[in-house]
Amino acid sequence: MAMSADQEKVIAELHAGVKAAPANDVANDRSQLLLVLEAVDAVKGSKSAEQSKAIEELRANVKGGASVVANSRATLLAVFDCLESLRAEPKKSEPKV
Amino acid sequence: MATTAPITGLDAKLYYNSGTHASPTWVLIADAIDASSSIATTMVEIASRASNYGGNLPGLVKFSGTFTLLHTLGSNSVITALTGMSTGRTAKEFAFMDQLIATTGSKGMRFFAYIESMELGAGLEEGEAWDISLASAFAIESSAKVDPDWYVVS
Repeated sequence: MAMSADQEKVIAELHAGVKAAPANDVANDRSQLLLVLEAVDAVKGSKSAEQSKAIEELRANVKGGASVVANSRATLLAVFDCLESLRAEPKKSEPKV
Repeated sequence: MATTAPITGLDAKLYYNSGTHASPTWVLIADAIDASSSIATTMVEIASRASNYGGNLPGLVKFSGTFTLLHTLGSNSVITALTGMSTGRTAKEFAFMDQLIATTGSKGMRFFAYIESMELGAGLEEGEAWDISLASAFAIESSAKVDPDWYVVS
């Protein structure tokens, strides 16, 4: 399902915030991290082993607990990179029936 | 007597936000030493000849904070970020939390601030450390004013 403009804005702001963070660990709002996962799941395409691992790590981290979730910055950057590369992939045309 | 667990400053955590207020990315300032945050209200004295008793009404409420930060040699990304905020006259959001921010029930003062001063102390027999003072900022984000807050992680 396509993201709304507001949701895309949240994802862009999160990405910028994580990129600007200097530390190894960062903490973000769970609801916004779930939005990133939703965006990744909505795009078809091939992921590298590192990207798949990062996505699963993020998925595990957002389960349960507080409304703020700590993650490694590297994990989040790998997920954002994955999202960007999947979205940039040229879509194959639908097979003709 | 406290009926809930007390906590030491050692376990309290200080953060700044490298993202936005709406989409925060909290960065732990791991090398903070002492930290304190405060809410102060200006008292406006109301007095007239009609009464022998003066009294106050609350004026502006201001959040502020101070902390000391261990200085280290070589690359230190947090010090770089903080000195950048200071020389760049940039307001950032800070959170003085009583435990890790990703813990349910963690609470503390969350507010945009300018670095009012940061002084690097190099006492003869002390670890070099920064003495940093934060003044609450008039912060606008996405055309809306962002006020200081007592933040409780749910």
